[in-house]
Amino acid sequence: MKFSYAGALVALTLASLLSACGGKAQYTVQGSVSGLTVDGLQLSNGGNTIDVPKGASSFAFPQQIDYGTEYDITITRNPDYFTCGVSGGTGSAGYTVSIGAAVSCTPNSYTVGGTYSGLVSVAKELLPGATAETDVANKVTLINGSGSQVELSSATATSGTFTAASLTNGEVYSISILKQPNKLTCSLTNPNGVIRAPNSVTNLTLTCVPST
Amino acid sequence: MKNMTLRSSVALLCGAILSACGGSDGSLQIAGNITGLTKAGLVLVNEGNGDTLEIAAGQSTFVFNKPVSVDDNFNVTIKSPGPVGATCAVSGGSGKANVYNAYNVQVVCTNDPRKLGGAVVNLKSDGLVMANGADTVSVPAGAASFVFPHTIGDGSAYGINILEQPKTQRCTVTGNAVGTIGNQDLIVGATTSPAVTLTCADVPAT
Repeated sequence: MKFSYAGALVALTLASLLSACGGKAQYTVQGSVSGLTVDGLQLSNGGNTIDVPKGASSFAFPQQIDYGTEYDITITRNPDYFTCGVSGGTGSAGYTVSIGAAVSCTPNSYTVGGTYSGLVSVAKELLPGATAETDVANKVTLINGSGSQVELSSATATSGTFTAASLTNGEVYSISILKQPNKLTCSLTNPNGVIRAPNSVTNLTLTCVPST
Repeated sequence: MKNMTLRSSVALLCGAILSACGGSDGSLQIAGNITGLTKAGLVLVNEGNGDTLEIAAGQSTFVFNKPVSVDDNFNVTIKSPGPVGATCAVSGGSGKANVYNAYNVQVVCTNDPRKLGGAVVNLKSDGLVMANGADTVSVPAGAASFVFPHTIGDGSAYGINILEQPKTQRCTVTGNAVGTIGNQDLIVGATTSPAVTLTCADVPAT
């Protein structure tokens, strides 16, 4: 009697193991989502697509796939002004215990800048070993508040274009002159505004004139 | 021959491993990374052997000079008072030294947060918005002061601009609209002074 109990137990265990291995094991094509603060993301796997709403931290396709079926999760539409990427998005179902792709989204950057002029050198120096004097670089520093900082130098060019900040859609910019060049006074037009993607800001004008 | 080659390579490997682990002659140098340090004045101490190490502003890695032996106790701490205007913390800085922990001490420094703001005179109209870069604050009619919502780190540059003027007035900024924040808040307060003063005047109706 004892033996038959044991036999039954072994049979039961075998059966449950078999069913776990599952001739017909099904896998959910799924993963995590990070950085998605806006609507508009669409993912696809084969012919199936899903929309992932803002704030989502995970996604799953409603159609399960069989053991051994290949999956390939791609981004068919990025949210406006965002770029998303997938890692671990391809494989074969059952290769890992469960499918776990990772979708990561970041907002696109747009530059704030414009043109500058009049940034001339106002002094010369004789470098050690040199036979002729060279211009001393004259520099002006622009800041976007306590954020980014950029230095323009007469050694690069006395006039040209500049970029003072790189921001995302909807962010405010407010550029100031942190440090004036030597013996010049620079003034800035259109220093403030809001980033309206997909446009970058190029209408700032920094004009430097000799100080009076 | 094959056996000999194998044996000698095993012996070599053993030797290499032993020397890597440092035997007993003190060949581990406590080392690690530093993030966020913009100020001078940080001195690290290995309490285990009394070794001290001065760290320069902006430094991102460090190595103590005095070597320690495997299983020596080490304990990296920050010598008081630390950098002025910043707070530093050590993680993974103590234990019995081995090749896994001796080179992975992490020091994280954060400049102390400072508040930035201004005084406001004669503001009778809504709509005024002030900006310090991407940080903005709406200042309602009747306000006598404003403070930006985000603090900035001690030593940070700032630049205050008027993003939007009030509906029926024009304000002008005086004071230090551009500067570097020092060791105290720049706001209206009993012991502090604001960075700027905004003075607003009515605009004649057109």
